[in-house]
Amino acid sequence: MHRRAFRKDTLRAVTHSWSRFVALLVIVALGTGFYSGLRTTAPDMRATVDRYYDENRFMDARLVSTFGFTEEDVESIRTTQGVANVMPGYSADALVRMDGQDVATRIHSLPADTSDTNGDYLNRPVVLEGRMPENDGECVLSNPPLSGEGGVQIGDTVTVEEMDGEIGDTFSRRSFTVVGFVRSPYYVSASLGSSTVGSGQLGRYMYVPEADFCVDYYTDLHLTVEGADALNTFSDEYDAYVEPVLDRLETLADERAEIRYEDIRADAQAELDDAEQTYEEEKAKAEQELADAYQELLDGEQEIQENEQKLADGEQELADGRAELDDGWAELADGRAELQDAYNELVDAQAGVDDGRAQLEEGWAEYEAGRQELNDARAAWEEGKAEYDQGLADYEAGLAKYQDGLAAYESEKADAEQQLADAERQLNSAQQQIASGRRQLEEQRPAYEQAVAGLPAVQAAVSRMEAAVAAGLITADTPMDVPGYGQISLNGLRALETQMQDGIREFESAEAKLEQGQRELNSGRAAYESQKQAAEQGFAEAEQELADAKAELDDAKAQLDEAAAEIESGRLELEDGQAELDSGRAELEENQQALDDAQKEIDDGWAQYFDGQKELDAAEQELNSGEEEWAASQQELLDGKAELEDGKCELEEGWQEYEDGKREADEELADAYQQLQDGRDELAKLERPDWYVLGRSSNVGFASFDGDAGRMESLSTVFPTVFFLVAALVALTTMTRMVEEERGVIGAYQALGYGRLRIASKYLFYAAVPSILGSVLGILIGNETLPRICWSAYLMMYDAPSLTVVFQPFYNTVGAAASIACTLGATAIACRSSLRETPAALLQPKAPKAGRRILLERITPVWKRLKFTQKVTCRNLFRYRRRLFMTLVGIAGATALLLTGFGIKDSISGIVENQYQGIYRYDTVVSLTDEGLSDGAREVLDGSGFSGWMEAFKESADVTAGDETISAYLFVPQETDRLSQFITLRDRRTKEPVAFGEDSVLLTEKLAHLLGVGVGGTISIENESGRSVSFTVTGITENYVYHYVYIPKALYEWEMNEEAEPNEVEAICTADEGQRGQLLAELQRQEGVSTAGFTEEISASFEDLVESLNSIIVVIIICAGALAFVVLYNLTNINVTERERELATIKVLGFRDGEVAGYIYRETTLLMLMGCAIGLVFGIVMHQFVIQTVEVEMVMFGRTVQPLSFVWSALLTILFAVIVDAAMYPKLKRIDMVESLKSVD
Amino acid sequence: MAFVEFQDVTKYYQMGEQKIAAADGVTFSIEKGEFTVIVGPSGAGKTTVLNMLGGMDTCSGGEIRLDGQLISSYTRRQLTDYRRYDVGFVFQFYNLVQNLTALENVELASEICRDPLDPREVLREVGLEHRMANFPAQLSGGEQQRVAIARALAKNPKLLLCDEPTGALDYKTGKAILCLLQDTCRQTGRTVVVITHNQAFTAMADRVIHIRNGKVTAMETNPSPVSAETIEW
Repeated sequence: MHRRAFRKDTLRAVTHSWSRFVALLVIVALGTGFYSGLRTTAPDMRATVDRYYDENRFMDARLVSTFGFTEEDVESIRTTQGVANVMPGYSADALVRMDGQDVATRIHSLPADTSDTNGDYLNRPVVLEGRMPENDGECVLSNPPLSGEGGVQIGDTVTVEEMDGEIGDTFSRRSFTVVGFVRSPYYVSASLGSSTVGSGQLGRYMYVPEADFCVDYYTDLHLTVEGADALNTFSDEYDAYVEPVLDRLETLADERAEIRYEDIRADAQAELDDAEQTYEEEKAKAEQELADAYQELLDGEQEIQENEQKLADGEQELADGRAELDDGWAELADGRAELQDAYNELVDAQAGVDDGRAQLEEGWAEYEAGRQELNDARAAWEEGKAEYDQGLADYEAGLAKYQDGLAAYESEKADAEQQLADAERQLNSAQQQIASGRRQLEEQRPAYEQAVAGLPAVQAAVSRMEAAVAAGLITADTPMDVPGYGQISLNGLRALETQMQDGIREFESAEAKLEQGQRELNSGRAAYESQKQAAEQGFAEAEQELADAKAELDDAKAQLDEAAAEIESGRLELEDGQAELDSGRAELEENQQALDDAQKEIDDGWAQYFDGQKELDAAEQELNSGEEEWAASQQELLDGKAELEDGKCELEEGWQEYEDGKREADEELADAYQQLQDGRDELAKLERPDWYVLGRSSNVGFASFDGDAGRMESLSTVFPTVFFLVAALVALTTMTRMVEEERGVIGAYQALGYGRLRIASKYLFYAAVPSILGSVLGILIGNETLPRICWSAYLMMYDAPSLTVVFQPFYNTVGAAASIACTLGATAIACRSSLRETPAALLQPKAPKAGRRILLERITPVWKRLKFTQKVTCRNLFRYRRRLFMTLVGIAGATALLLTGFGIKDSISGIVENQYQGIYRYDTVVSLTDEGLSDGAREVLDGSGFSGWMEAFKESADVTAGDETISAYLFVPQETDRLSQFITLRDRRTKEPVAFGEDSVLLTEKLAHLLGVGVGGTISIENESGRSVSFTVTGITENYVYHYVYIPKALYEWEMNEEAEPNEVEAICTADEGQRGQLLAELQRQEGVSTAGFTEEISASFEDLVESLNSIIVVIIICAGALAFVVLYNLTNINVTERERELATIKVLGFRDGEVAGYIYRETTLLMLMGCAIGLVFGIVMHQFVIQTVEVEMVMFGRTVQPLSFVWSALLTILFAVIVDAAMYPKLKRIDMVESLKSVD
Repeated sequence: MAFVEFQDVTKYYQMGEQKIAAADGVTFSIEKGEFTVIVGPSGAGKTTVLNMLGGMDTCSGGEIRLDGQLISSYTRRQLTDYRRYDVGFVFQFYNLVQNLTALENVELASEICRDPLDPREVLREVGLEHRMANFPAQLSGGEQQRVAIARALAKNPKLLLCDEPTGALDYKTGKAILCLLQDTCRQTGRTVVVITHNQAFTAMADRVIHIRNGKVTAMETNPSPVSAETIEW
């Protein structure tokens, strides 16, 4: 049961003191919320950007090489351990004309494959409006850095105007159509970084398709590290994770750079070698050509001479040809005559043959008759034989007679035969002679025939060669290949021809002689035949006689074989007759044959004749054609002569040409040699390529964001810690008070026998509930609101997506735990001290705190002068030291926060005001091109629109002092003494002007501060051309935006040894609002004017920034106000509660409500005023700290807090005090006087 | 007409649904310059009566008059003035402001009055001239009560109200305080009302009012009050 009662009491402790409960809850919520909210802002910002990076595949590292990258480089990087993806690409800085202005723009390439699946597509831009480029010639632009600048629209065309080097070497086109606007993780910061073109500051970035670049080598290489996206990029783990890969890349870089160097060197060397070889070849060729030409010319001359010779030869030949032709004609005539002879011969021969044939006919008839005779004789013989057998005796008888007769006959016959035989022999020997002649002839015939057959060929060859000789192709002695005759010259051929013709002629005459012999022989033979025939006839008659005799003999033999002999002889006769017949026949046949042969010969002779005829015709034809040829040759010769004349002219020209060509070639060769030499020199000067491996920290956006997040973090350690401390103190006080109040109750519980822990649990519970609720509430609200508000302010300077609130367990737990621990700890301590007392003592009222004299009383003059109530107040204030301390800290903290909030606002809004109205007296800036200020522009500036203007040279430079190097603007006015008319040069604190004379070097304040140099210090300045010179600082001048070093022109030019050619004009515009735009447009139209603008445009954009920061400040102010309120309320509440009895007493004493309130209010007011004073002092310190923490390098925030801010901070604190007092009044009124009568229980 | 007049005064406290009558038709009167003792047991309604008389509480019904003024009809503000100018209070637990010295405690009261007595004088009168610069914590109970009385007296009130003035004191000191009160009454002619449960005090009073259960059970005048020093309890 008692447990329930205890629990009820515990719960009632809450319900009966709502105000305290709520106050505790709110204070815890405020402390925790503010702490966790601000603390998580930086982590949230980082998480947001980290996610943005990861989502859009921001590179982990970037490689830059002085020589670009080859595919092999890319491949080797790709295969480096730890490298996940590599995106090779191109980038270039250029002035791009958009919306009528030249904007320094960095142009990046987009890979060909921009799909999500392409892992190598890094630094992906996010389309905010429009679309990504799909075709060549399209581009996407970054959003304008600050609102209202560069009104480029989708569909507009932007043009690359100017860049380092040839545009055509980098881009395949100059104009691009804007198809969208993007934000890129590569550019998180609104400040895009520096550039080599334009004013040195990038204005925009742009993406175009890779194909629009025409660079040989990749200029950029972005890569991601395997698994690095899982880590927060701002964490040390990330750095530690990525570093080894970067180290590996560094190592690789050295290797690749060496390889690349060697490649380039080798390529160049090879090229050079090739060039050298080409040169040598060309040289040799040229020389050869020249020599050839020379030779040709000489040959030409030679040829002309030869041709002249040839012409002469040709003429000779022509003459020879004429003679030959004439010979030919003569020969032809001879031939024809010969042929006529041959014809006659043939006709004669034919007649001979015809005679022979007639004789032969006769012979044949004779032969037939003889044969008939023989046959008759044979029959007779047959009869005689029979007669013989009968007349053998006759024969025998007749034999003697017969033998006589026979003997007579035989001797006669022998004589005749002898005669015949002789004739025969003679004939035969003649025949033989003829035959041998014929044989000889036959032997020669092939040669003859060959000669006859070959002659035309030879003649043809002769004529050909003649023609050739005539054409000047050969000489007569030039041996040439004639078919069948081997290598033979024309003269040889001619001899051969003559020989052949002689041979033919000889052969033919021999043949004719032979024919003659034959004819004679034939006639002899005919005589012989007729003789013989006569003899034969005689013989036949004799034989007939003999046969008769024989027959008589045979008849006689018939008696005795007289007749037998007759028969036998008859038979022999027959046989002889037969033999004779046969031989006659053979003879006839022979004759026939001979005749046929002769006929054949004649026929052949005819054929030969006709051939000869034909030959002659052909020869004639040939001669005719020879005539034609000759005529042609003659024509040719004439032509040749003309040609020769032309050739001579040509040769003359050729020489001229040769001289020209030679000179030209010499010049060209010299040029080529020079080029070759240049190439050699260049190669000798070739530097080793450098690779730079740049991690994310080299990315401007990343680095500045990292810095800002760090600043936000340090800011969030100061602000909320103060806040948190105050809140914790208040909670502590509250709980201590509560435990003290409940003293009696504790005593009672103890007396009842409750354990100490149990009793303590009531108060711990009481403390825990609002702490936990407050923490949760605070975390929920703080986490959601503060980071968002801060982020929205940061988005003015960053181009990033909206904030991702990530629950930060650490800071939230720390915040909540600290809050809860503080309250619970305070409660526990309070409980412990109470519980340590005995129950009896606890049941007794706590001995009231003894009054004490305060220090002030000892200062009698002051004390005496105080009114009584004031004394009381003073005494009371110091009576409760702890509460005094708490209250002071609380109020001071709140006031300090308020002042810091207002102060930051002052500092930031002061920048714009101070810089653009206080420091810059000019309000118009005109950037000049290299051409410088034109007369037209001067006219405009001198016009009524401007009250004054000054030319200046401005460039960025690295300023170094000690170890610090800061990038600043060198500002060199053209007229030293007029600088102060355009820029206020003064000390910030004293407002004393800072002198700027011929030897002055002025630094702006922040720059001097960052460098740690004062007046008299030494700085070294390195300008854009890399010249570094030391200067002594003569003054430090107030400035808020950017860093400047003001140097007089003469000093600059002397020291830097460089001319300070003006590139900017500062002017003061006096035109009213309506005319300003027109004035600006007029200026921009002028030659030599790059851009013109009013500083108020810049200041307006700064105002936006300030506006956004204001929202953070409002949050801070509201929080600080809430804190002040809660602190005051709570402490006043405690004060009142604690002194309720005292208040009741004075009420009883007749103090009016106002006086009672005043009794308290005096104290709170005094406390508040003291706290406020302390807070204002503390606030100044805190403001300084915060400003210096939050400040960005380029800008000096105002250092001073405006008086009005002090007033506002104090007023707000007072207002809260008044509100608290007002809220407390009813409570004071309600204090029951009856209470005073009671004992303290 | 008596200096102090209670006419059928009632005081109800609403305790949840119950209505408790702390004073249930209290009627009495006190003459000017009288030393009155209101006596009764605990819870009889003495303090309620004192509170109403001292202007610290209002009555639910009836009339309260002091010196002809109808206190019971006073507004809150009038009551404050009434307490301020007309009434001096002496509490059982002294109720001194711990942070103020004896003198300052007196001055705390005298500073707001129209016609205050000199605080030092008053303190001297109560026999604390040598302790004027001491803080309450440095004083004994009797001394503290003397300071309280001095504080009440310094206002030069028409009526001095004492709620169990000896309740927290030992016998001897209590007696001394009673003497002081009696002397004050006798010497300054001030009307003094002492509330006590101690019947012994009745002997020293000019008038004794007995209260029980929120009603006046008896009111008697004592023609021959004894000196406080003689009474015993």
